[in-house]
Amino acid sequence: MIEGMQAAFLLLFQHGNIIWILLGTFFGLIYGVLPGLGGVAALTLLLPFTFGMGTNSAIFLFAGVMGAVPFGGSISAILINTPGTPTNAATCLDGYPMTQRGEAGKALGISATSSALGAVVGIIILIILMPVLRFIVLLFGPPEFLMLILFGLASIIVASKGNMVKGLLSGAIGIMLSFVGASLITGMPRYAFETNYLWDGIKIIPLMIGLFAISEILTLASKGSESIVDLNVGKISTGSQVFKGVAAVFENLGVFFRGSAIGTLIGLIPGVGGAAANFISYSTALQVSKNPQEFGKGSVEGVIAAESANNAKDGGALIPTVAFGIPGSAEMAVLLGAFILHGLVPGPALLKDHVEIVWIIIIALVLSNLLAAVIGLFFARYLCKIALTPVYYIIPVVAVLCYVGVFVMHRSIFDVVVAVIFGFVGFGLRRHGYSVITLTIGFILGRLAEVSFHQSLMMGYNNYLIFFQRPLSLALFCFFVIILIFPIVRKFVSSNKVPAQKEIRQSGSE
Amino acid sequence: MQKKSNPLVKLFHFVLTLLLIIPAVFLLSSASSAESFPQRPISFMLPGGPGGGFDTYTRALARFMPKHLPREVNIVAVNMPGAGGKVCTSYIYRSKPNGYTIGFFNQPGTVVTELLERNPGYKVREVTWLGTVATVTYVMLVPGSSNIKTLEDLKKLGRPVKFGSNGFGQTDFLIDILASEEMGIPFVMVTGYTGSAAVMVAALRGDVDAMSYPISSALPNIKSGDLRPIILLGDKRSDILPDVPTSTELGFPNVANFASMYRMVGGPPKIPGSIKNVLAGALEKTIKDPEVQAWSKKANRPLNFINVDKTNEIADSMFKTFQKYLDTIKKHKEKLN
Amino acid sequence: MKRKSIYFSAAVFILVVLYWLKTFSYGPKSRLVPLIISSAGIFFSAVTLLTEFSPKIASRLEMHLFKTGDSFSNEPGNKESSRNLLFVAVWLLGFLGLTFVFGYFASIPVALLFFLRYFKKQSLITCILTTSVVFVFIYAMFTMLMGYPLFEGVFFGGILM
Repeated sequence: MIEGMQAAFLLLFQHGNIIWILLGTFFGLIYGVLPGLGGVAALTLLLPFTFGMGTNSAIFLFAGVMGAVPFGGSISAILINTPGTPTNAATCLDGYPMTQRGEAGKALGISATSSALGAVVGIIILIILMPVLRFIVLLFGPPEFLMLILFGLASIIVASKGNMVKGLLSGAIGIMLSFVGASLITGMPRYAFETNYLWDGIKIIPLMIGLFAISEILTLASKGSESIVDLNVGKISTGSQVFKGVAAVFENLGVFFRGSAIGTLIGLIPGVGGAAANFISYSTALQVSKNPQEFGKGSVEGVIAAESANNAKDGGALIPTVAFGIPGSAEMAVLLGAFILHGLVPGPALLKDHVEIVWIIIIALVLSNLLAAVIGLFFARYLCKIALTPVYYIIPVVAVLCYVGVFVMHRSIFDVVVAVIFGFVGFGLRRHGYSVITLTIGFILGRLAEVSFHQSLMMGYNNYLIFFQRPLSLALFCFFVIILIFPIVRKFVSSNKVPAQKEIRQSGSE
Repeated sequence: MQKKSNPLVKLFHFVLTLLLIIPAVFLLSSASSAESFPQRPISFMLPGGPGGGFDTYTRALARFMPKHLPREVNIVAVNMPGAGGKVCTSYIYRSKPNGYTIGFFNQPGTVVTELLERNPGYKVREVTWLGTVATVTYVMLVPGSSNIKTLEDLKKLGRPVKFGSNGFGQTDFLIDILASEEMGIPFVMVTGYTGSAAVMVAALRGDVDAMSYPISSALPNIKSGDLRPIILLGDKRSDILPDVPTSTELGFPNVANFASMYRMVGGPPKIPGSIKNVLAGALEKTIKDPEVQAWSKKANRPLNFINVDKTNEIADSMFKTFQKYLDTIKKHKEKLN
Repeated sequence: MKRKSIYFSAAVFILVVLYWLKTFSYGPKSRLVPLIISSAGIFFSAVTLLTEFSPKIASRLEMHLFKTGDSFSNEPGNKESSRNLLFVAVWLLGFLGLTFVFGYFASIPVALLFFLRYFKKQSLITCILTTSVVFVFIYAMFTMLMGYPLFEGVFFGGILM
């Protein structure tokens, strides 16, 4: 293992590989910022160009791209409420309100810092677990995944605080939307109106762009705002704010580490990890925070939680990818395809025979994350000007970017139709007190929860008790219950303390 | 000459000339288009997303095929995942038969989908076949730690054998149910895994008892002891696994009829013969290209070319075979629901 | 505001019921989980609808309409912002329709020019300049650099998929 690391470091300084990391970072940032595009699009575009390069250089390039995309997406999430990729959606929830308050610089500072450091933590966890990667992947079967997902779904309850019924309703609607399409288990197309388009379900990118970006366009119009920043606030974002944001991360290390850990853990669930990780981290932060009422209005904790998770997830996603060749995310799938095209066979043998490849990925991911963050910090003060741009420029330009970006992913004009529909739906939801957060969580997790549920039953010959018969599954279930009742217990404990304090004061004053 | 007849005569000559020129232009252009094919980039469609099985084959072909064409043009790999392959297949089927749109067809998936669905959007037997790029033989495997060593062990497990597979309609799913029915193995399906790697991990975990896997993909895992092959689903023993009995040897010759996957390349119906020959020839030369062969060995992506005529035969017989098994497939679809 | 909420909540309720009904047409395994979730959905949307009719129930259930993190309280919409909203809504749909029929190359310049000119009257020069910049950026970025074909529109033979 150490030899692999040394080999990779040596390779870093050969063949101009540093240039490839730089190029990858650049590409990743651009593809991250533009709504609708993302890591998969970037990697697929670059694939043919890498044929002439050495395999190692190609991997430096790809991992460089993957490292920069999340932060790129955060930039548009913070500035224009447009998640550049689905994994940036939770950043919109508090990053954009910060921009609206004139604190865009601070938000960008927080994002850059927690992104870069979050990725590092994710990678450190990966490195620590390297000797036991196989064991970890084998630990999680369908029942365990279901428990993890339930934990994620529990965050619907958490995020519904203050308006339980509408929050839970939105969550249920999100789950219902995720069932559209052919069931992976039975092959039966559901709610698809007999079309090929809906056979694979509602796609997440058009849904998110609609719910977040296009609904915000409508919201800006309906509020009659002059610009994104509410000019009554009086504060205008400046460069010094950026460093306040950086400092804020270090003032909230608990949130940061929790977010990174959750990001890595959820990231290792193949298929859904990335998009879910940032929401679950956000909800957990909301659940345990001492200032929950700040969330949604520009809470520093909210941004840190979302951002650290969405970069740490890459560390988690690498675990099944590297251990067994099971792609932990869509980008990992393209990465594995790139391996094959360059003659590397993914699977358990990769760790044994080509461990330096894994280290190349690690080094490139870390470097590009750091580089992207530095670039972001440097340009932050200029990017903030977007928040001051008049709304009559913002609306049409963002609309055009969204309409084009959503289309090019799958060359489907119906994707744009879906995005616009959900733009109106999202606007309606926000206006009438429903929750876009819980809907999104439900949508991301619903389908996979159902598949894991049915798989678990099939495995156990329809034994519904299977979830409680496997040790890890049982443990996760208990943890899930504990998290749910945590705030109730906390309230109970603190209300018991109050009478005791009263007594002390009374006795003290006598 | 009288003034009145002059314009009429001129008109008559004009029309006559047109009637002669227009067909000539058509003839010339179609002849020249065949001779001058290709003139612009060719789209090579594939029924999967980036990083998947067909994706890597397509990109490898797209890289090496242009130089085997009479005129070197770009071949662009176009991902068209969706609806279990229907989107891609129907797109190719509906395209203009001018040779600029071709693509991969997943057999038997394409055939089964056409038989099961009301409006698949294509007719497999009308496709212009250009050749087969690879034939995938499947083996039935159990985890290395399992006690099962033979077909008899599988049957005598005492409980239905749990087969892990991808979702309904995928090749390994079809093979699992048809082979088990044919060979008399009592079984239940555990489906919904995305990717054979995930199925293998399920087997290692003990969540499922058995699975079907392409022989070349399974080989590294057999060598490492993670998986043990029980039966090779086909006619002939394989050189790479000489000790594994075939389903035919064990007394079930029918299995060989359906248990292979073919990566066929084709285009829309009625591509002109000359264009078809150019494409088929280029495909064959590409597969036999030493650089491509080298990649194939290194990346463990086997290639075994089958020419146009044989491909036509196989496609037709596949259709007939699966028509016979349609009821069994439908029965299991009901059961799964 | 209350009145508008009723329509929205009623629409949600109806859609959830339709979903629930459709679920019965699927096989037992296919409909198991959707049935559970949509039943919960019916329950929640029925309760929500009920509270729209009677604010007393709302306060009993401690339902505060606008306290979820990402919803915003509605200032009494003045005439200008209603007009703005209508304009943008129609513009979004029009832009989509234009793209669907005629493709991006036609729809982007037309939609941008129209918006800049009529949303908040800009000088002709500003409109044309901004439109050109955006159009060139989109073209350079997506078509030239990235090589993605932009939708040609049904009229020009774009394929729907």
